[in-house]
Amino acid sequence: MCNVGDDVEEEKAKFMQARTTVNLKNSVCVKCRTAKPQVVLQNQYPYCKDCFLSATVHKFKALLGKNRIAHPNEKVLIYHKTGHASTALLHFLRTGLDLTTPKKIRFEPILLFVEGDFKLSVQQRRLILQQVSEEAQRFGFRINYVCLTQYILDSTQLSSLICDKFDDVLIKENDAASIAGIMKKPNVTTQTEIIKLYEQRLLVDVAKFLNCKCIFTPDLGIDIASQLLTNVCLGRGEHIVFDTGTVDSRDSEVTILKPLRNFTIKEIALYNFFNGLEPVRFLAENVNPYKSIQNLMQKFVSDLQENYPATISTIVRTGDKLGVNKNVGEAKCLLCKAPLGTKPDTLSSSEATNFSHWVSTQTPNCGVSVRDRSKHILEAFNNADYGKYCFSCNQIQPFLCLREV
Amino acid sequence: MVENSLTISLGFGGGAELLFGNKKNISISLPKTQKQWTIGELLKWIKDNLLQERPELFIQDDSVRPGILVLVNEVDWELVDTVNYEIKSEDKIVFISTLHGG
Ligand SMILES: [Zn+2]
Ligand SMILES: [Zn+2]
Repeated sequence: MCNVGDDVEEEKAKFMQARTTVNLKNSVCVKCRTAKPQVVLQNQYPYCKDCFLSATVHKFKALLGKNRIAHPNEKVLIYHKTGHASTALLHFLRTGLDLTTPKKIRFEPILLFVEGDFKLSVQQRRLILQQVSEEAQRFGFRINYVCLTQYILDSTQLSSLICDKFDDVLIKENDAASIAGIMKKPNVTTQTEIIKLYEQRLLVDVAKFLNCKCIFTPDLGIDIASQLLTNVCLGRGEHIVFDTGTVDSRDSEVTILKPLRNFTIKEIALYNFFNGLEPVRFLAENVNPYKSIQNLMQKFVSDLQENYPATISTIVRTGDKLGVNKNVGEAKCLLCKAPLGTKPDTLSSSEATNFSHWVSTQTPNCGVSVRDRSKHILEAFNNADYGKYCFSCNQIQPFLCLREV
Repeated sequence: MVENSLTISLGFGGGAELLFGNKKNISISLPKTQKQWTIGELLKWIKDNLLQERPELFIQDDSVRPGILVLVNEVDWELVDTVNYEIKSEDKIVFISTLHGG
């Protein structure tokens, strides 16, 4: 029997769940079922302070325990940034290291701060460095600094670029111009992509230099979601597994782990609040969301977070279901270091794109039959051999002035 | 003696303090009126009296901008009816910015 009401219910399930408003007056903590709640997660689950804090710490430890990437006494490079996520990460690590129980963290964290806020004034950048150094000191961690501009201009002199005192970081007024100088007038999307590629490579290079086999980044669920959608837009679908998965094993020596990927910014900010932690913050200039694909995706996921909060974890979990391309050889992309695909029997989407571009730019020889014409075009088509770069980097590469990257 | 003002303290964190002359704690006295002070009313008062720059990073429509967390006496304001919460003397209301990029 068909019922109109049922249809409506089914229809609803197909769509994204909008933010729900639950009446939480007189509610109790969902965990202990006794205490008065102080926090609401996902707009509907009330937690008391104690249960919230222990659940948050547990979530962090569960991810570390499940992946067992960092081994006892090994050094782990912590990619430290300004903002809530990094501060919470330092606190998770410090409290884990200070434990005396078997659950104690046994690896040795070393912080790395990448100075790359070229859009701010030199004075502001110096202040950020100083505050970052004070924060590391408060938590009792060793920290290193690298100026991203210097690295982009010459990555061969890494040892001279890594400083352990923030005063030694070279900051110049014209850093933004120097960076622009290595590119041939790219649009903002490509420019952002190029800087990100350098940043990624810098992380791995520093990790190797400091003998770290593992890197932790402070990416939250919302960062993962926006990176994933950006990848789709930029033809990096194949790299989603590396860029957004829990573990990035692209490099054979250094593994990148994203231990905060299952957290929301609210959980992390409240964790900091209840622990009396204040992250390093600065007033960034207003970003125009329409200037680049990356900005647009950031705005898109922030809006989702606000209006359809459950979708963020749906995006992240969808990404988790993707697998690595099996048709890969030994060769890696010179820019992003992702394994390059080998020729499969069927056309991949990038090859199909190339083919359609090829067909539509050929002048057909009208002196021969239609059959011969298409035969000729097919024979003449030589699918681009991505000998050096992956599909997406192949689009970026022409914008780089450097000889061999 | 009838008090003719409502004294509360405000806290700003996570970068929200940068919009208030880098002050993390501000104690204020709100004039008592016929109407009960709510957080919604307080936000208008903050905008007119305390907010020093980029109001769009703090206020949106009649509430805080998405990405600003509000706690009343260490309790998430979602548990106390958000903008409709009726302010009591000695309340501590904290605003934490979670905005990305700075
Ligand atoms: Zn509880
Ligand atoms: Zn590539």
